[in-house]
Amino acid sequence: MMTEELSVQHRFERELQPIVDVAFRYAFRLTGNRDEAMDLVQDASLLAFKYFASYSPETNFRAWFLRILTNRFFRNRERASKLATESLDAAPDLYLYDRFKADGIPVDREESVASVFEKINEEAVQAALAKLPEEYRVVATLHLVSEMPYEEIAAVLEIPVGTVRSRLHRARKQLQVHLWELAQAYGITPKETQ
Amino acid sequence: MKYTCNETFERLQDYLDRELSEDETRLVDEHLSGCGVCAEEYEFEAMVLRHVQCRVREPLAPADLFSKIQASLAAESSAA
Ligand SMILES: [Zn+2]
Repeated sequence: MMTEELSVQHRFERELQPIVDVAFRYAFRLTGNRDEAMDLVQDASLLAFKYFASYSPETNFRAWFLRILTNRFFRNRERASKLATESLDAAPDLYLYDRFKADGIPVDREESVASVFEKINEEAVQAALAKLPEEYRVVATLHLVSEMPYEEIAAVLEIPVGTVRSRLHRARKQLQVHLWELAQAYGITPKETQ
Repeated sequence: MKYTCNETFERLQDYLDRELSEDETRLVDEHLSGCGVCAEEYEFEAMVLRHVQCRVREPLAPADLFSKIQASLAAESSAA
């Protein structure tokens, strides 16, 4: 009996270990906080272990586990404060590209983009992500931290692939607007980038 | 068959994410290699995406996270 228990735990841990980093990164980007991210991954791990029997071996453990983690995150949030479902206005296509052009920043040079992103550090990108409505933020975050295919994101969030696609594309456009606002707040002007 | 600029642009985000079918990918490739305007837009979008990804690729899980999980699983197993 004891060895049986141990082997289930061992099997679970073997599945979990390779995805701990991506799970933590995702949790960290969702919560914006290291301690909360630790708690979230630990909570999700216990929960996943409890329901490990319902996981079919050889299927996608990463998607299965991140689904549990995401649901856990939303459950915690609902308790803390009821989320307002915010709509996302359609941001224009190629927003940054057009802003760069309008300000005379070369768009075809890696250095000019890099010089703007030098000012937009990790916290700034986190802040830009945080400004997205939750359902968009989750899709964008998952894709950014894991580069998962749309189909796997759809499995994690239990939404259709088409919804993943449209939310991700809209989130990315809106993110460019937020990033430009931040770049300006950080005092980035064409002069500085030349 | 060839894609127009519009048809290419509509597929640019999926192309960036490698979500297009083989045929669509080839058609976008062909358009981008012959159209400087679309190619410049694509390169720019790809650069922005790379920079954003690079910013969120951190942090690694704390070194003790996995051992903490193992400890709580062990406690859960023995309690059950
Ligand atoms: Zn074109």
